[in-house]
Amino acid sequence: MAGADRGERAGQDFDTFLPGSARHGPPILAALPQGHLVPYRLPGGQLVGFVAKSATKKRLQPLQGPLNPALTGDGPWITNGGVPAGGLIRSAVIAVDLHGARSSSLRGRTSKIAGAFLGSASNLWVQMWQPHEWSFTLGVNNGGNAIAADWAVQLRLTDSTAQVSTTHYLTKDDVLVHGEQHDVLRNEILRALSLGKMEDPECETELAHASLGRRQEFARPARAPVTVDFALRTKLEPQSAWARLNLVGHRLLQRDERQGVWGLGLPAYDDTDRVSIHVGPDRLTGRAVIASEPTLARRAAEAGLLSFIARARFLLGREDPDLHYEGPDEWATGPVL
Amino acid sequence: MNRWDEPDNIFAPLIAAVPPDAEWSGFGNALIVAAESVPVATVVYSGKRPNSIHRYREVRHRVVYTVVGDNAKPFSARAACIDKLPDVPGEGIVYESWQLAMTRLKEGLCTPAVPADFLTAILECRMMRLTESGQPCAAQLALTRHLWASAVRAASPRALVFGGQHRWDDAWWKEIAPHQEVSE
Repeated sequence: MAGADRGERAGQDFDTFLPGSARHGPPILAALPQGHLVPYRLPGGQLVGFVAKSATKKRLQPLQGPLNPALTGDGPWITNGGVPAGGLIRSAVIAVDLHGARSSSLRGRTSKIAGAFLGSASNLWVQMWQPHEWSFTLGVNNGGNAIAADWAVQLRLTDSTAQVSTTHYLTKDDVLVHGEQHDVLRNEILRALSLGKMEDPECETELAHASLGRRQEFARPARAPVTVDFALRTKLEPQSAWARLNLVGHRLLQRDERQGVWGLGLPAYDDTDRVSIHVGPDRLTGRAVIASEPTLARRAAEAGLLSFIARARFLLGREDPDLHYEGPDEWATGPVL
Repeated sequence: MNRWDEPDNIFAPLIAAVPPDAEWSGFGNALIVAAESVPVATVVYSGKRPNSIHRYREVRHRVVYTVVGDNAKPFSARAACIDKLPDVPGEGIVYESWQLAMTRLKEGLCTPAVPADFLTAILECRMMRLTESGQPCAAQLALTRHLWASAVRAASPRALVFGGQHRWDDAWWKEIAPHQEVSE
């Protein structure tokens, strides 16, 4: 109780000095006639009171538009409509300008000052549940393994229509938070799916170019070139061992009855980064070489070798519970997770 | 027929097909290995948790993991890039940057771009998280796609891969030494 009192007092203190806060709302609204629909704006430009609430409710209503006939078809939907519709939806998403948008995980009655300082750059989560069902959520990580959402929009496609509906939303002074981005997203999606063409066909490629090449940080330097010898003791017949090794998933470069060679990491460096397995009686003997020059190639080959050994042990071990690994312990840990 | 080709679009789907006589691991195992072959980077998170006045700072592993079987439904398999606390399982979507979803397609679905009897799969960008500076972890996304496509092509000289980005450029991957803070 005492805590609630303190919070209330703190809020009042802030409200006393900040225009546009809830404290200033009621007297202004009381002066407006009932049913007055002209939005009233405070000096800061924000809509207030029941007028804003009405406008916000209006902008949150579900919208429906036609689906361009080119996106529908008689055949299976995933190729006839799903792929181009997905491209249109992504292009509409990319049209949403997130520059300067900041979201906060704070909820409830908070001061303007706290809200201004604790906000972070907004994220837009775009998720495809099915080719005909998507969701879009604007917000930030709440620091507790969940999204603090400003709004969430759902898109459903039927054979002839597209419908967008807002499933969650946050208001501040009765106005939808980041409502501009919300409206742009919904309108752009409906427009693109109705017209069946993108406003900017290169937008995805441009976004990809802007996103690639960011700097990566690692806990330790890339490993120096290395050769690793290991063995797997097994009672499996060579034929059975090969049947299991065929499922390992790495690129098979060469194979004869006694030996197989797989590429590790980047295919451009298959000549230098590879692992070979020699299948002998009661024993598979492996030798891996990681000798490429670029650090990325060596890192990928190292990750690939950890994966290869772990998968070979897993796949062979399903048939032979007594399978035994002999080799350096550091390569027996499996992929880092 | 001209196959659809967007070599630099990391968000566009990839169609991959192998002839029915190819002896290989399959699309799902190729995706698992592609994900596991992406080097594990680190990233530092700092910020404040709800109901706490203290700032936190934690080093997370940026890993690509895969989900197959029932957990991947309605897709055959999924791969996702997540900033994960070491040894802590089961974190939510907030720490994920993207997800790829793979679906096996019925035979003949992609004709005439793919011969009717080829085994075919589609790899789609199922989830993306956009910020004002673009798609986080885009290099990991491009690398996963490249490694998966390479595994498919290694299955047979007649294997086909087309659609969005599946090439790789070393310039897409840059490394730095010191920690770089990511504030929430």
